[in-house]
Amino acid sequence: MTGPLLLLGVLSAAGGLINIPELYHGNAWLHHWLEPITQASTPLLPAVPLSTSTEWLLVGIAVAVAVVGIVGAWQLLKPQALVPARSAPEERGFARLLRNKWYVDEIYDALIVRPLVWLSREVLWKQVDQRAIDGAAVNGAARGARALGWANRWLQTGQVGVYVTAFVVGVLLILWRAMS
Amino acid sequence: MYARWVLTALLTWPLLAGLVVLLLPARLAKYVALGASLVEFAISVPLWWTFAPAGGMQFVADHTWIAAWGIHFTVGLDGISLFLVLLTTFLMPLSILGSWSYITKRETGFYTLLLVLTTGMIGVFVALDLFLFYVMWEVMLIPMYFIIGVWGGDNRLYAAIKFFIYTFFGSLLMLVAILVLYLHAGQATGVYSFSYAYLLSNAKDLGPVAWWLFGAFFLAFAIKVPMFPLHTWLPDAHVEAPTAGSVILAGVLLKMGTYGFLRFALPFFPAVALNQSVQLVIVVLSLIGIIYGGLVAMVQPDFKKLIAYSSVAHLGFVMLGIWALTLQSVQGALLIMINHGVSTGALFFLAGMIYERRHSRLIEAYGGIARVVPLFAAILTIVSLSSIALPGTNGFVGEFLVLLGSFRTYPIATALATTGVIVAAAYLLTALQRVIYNPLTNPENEKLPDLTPRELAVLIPLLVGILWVGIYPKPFLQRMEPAARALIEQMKPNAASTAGQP
Repeated sequence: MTGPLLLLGVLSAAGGLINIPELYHGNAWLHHWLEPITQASTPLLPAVPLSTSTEWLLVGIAVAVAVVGIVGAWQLLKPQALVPARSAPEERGFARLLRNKWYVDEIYDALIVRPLVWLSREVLWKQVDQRAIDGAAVNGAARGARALGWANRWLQTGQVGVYVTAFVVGVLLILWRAMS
Repeated sequence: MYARWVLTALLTWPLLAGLVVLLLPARLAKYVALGASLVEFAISVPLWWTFAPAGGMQFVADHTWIAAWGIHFTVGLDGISLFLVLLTTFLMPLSILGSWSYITKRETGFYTLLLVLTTGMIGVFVALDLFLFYVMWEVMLIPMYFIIGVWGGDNRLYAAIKFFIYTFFGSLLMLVAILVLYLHAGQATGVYSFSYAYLLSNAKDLGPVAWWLFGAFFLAFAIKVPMFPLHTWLPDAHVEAPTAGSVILAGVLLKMGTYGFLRFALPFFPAVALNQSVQLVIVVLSLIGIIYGGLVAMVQPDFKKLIAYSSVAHLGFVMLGIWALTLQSVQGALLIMINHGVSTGALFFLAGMIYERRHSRLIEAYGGIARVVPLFAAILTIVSLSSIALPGTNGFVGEFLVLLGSFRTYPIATALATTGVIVAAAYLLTALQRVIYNPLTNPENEKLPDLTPRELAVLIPLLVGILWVGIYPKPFLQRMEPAARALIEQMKPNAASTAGQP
C-alpha cells in the first residue's frame, strides 16, 4: 500500500497547489477552469474577502483535525498489538456490527441494487425493449408488410382466367357506380 | 485561398483515393487508405486556426449543379459543423489503422467503402443546399450498409437490413419535407432553389403544414440520434458491425441526427419546436433515453451492446441540451457530441481489440485480466471514466454544461437527468470490475498479449483528446459560442439579449 499512498500524497499536494490560499500569495487557477462558460455567473458570485486571521484559523483547524486523527488512531489501534486479520479473534456483538459496516452494503444491495437490476433486466430490457419495441413494433411492422404481401399473393396467380374475372368484376363495379 | 478550396477538397479527395484503392492490389488497400485518410486529416487541420469564431458561415464554395431545378453545390462551415468535420477526419485514420488486422477478407472493398463514407459524412455536415444534403445523407447510408452486412458478426445481415430500412424510412420522409419546402418557397416567390439560406428565409407562413414538415424531419433525425423508442436498430448495428463500423456509427453517424436538429429542424420550424407539447414530448423522450438507456446498458451481457445502449443515454443528454436552448446547454450538447465520438469510439476500439484476442464480446468471458494486459486495462479504465464523465475528462465538461444550462429551462427534467450520471457509473464501473478486476478464473485469459504499438497508435490520440477537452475546453467552447448564440437568437428573438445571462 505504500506505493499507491505515496502517489496519492503527491497528487493531493498537486491538487492543493492549483489553488494556493492568498495567505501564501497563491494563485486561484481552478477558478478559471471553465471560462468562458462561467463568465456570465462570475459577477454574481459574492466576493468574500477573507481576513488573514480567518485564513490562519482555517489552516489551523485543518491541521488540528489531521493531528487529532493520527493521534486518535494511534491510541485506539495500538499498532504494536495488531495481528493479521486471519489470526485475529472473531468479533462479537457490537464489534461485529461495526466490522460489517452496520450492514449498510447488504441493506443497500437488497433494497436498491437487486430490485433495480431485476427491473432493468426482466422488465425494461427483455419485455419493453426486446419484446414490445423491437419485437412487436419494429419487427412487427416488417412481419405486417410481409403478411400483406403474402395475403395479396393470390392475386398474382399467373392464370389469365383469374385476371379476366377480376377485370370483369371491376368493370361491372365501375358501371354500377356510374349508373346509380 | 485555402478557404475557397478546402471543403471541396475534403469532399473529393476521399473519392479519388477510393478509386485508386479499387485499382490497386488488395494487399496495398489499407496502406493507401491510411495514407489518404491522413492526408485528408492534414487538409482539415488548418480549419482549426483559420476558422473565425464570429465569422458565421465560412469556407463557402458555391457552384451551380443542376441549374434548371435550382440545385447548387453549396458548402460551408460554422461553429456547429467545424468540430463534426474535424471529428470525422480525426476518426477516419484511426478507424483504418484499427481495422489493420481485423479485416482480412475483401480488403479492397472495405477500404474503398470507408473512403466513400468519409465523403458522405463530411458532405452531410457541410452541405448548404438541401438537395446536396439529402444526397450526402444517402451516400453515407450505403457504404455503412455494406460494411455491416459484409464484414459484420454472425447476425450481420439482419442488423444491416434493419439499419438500412429504419434509416431509409426516416430519410424518405425528410425528402418529402424538403420538396415541400422547395415548392412552397418557389410558389411564393417564383424562384425555385434548394439553397439553405433561401429556404430558411422562406420557411415562414407555412401554417399547419409546418407541423407535418417538422414531424418528417423529426422522424428522420430522431431515428438517427437515436431517441427512445426509435433506438432498437442501434444495438444490433453497433454489435454486428466490425470495429471500424461501430466506431464510425457511434462516433459520427449518430451526430448527424443531432446535427440535423440544430441545422434544420430547429431553425426552420421554431414555432413548432418551441410549442409546449412538442417540448414536453422531446424532453420526456430524452429523459427516458438517459435513464432507460443507462439501466438497460447495466444488464447487458455483451460488452459492445452495453456501449451501444450507453450511446442512447449520452445522446439523450445532447437532445436535452439542444432543446433547453441556453448558451451553456447548447455548447454542452455540441461538446458531448464531440466527446461521445472520442470516448465511445475508444471504447469500441478497445472492445474490438480484446475481441480479436479472445473472440468473445461477453463480459463474463473475462475477469482479472488487468494483470495480464496492464496497458489495455489502464486505457480501458481512463476511457470508461471519461464516459462516466469524471471531472478532468472530456465527458464531465460536456455533461456539466448541459445540466447547468438545461436547469434554467427544465429544472425538474434536469434534476432527473442527473441520475443518468449515476447510472453511467453503475454500468461502466461494474463492467470494468468484471472485465479487468475480479479473480482471473478462465485459463484462456492467462496468455492474452497486451496492446501492440499499432493499437497504441490508435488509442493514444483518443486519450489525448479525452484529457485535452477535460482539462482545457476553452479553445473548443470559444469556437462554438457564436454559433450557439446565433441559434438561440434565431429561435428566441426576444430572449437574445439575455441568452448569455442567468
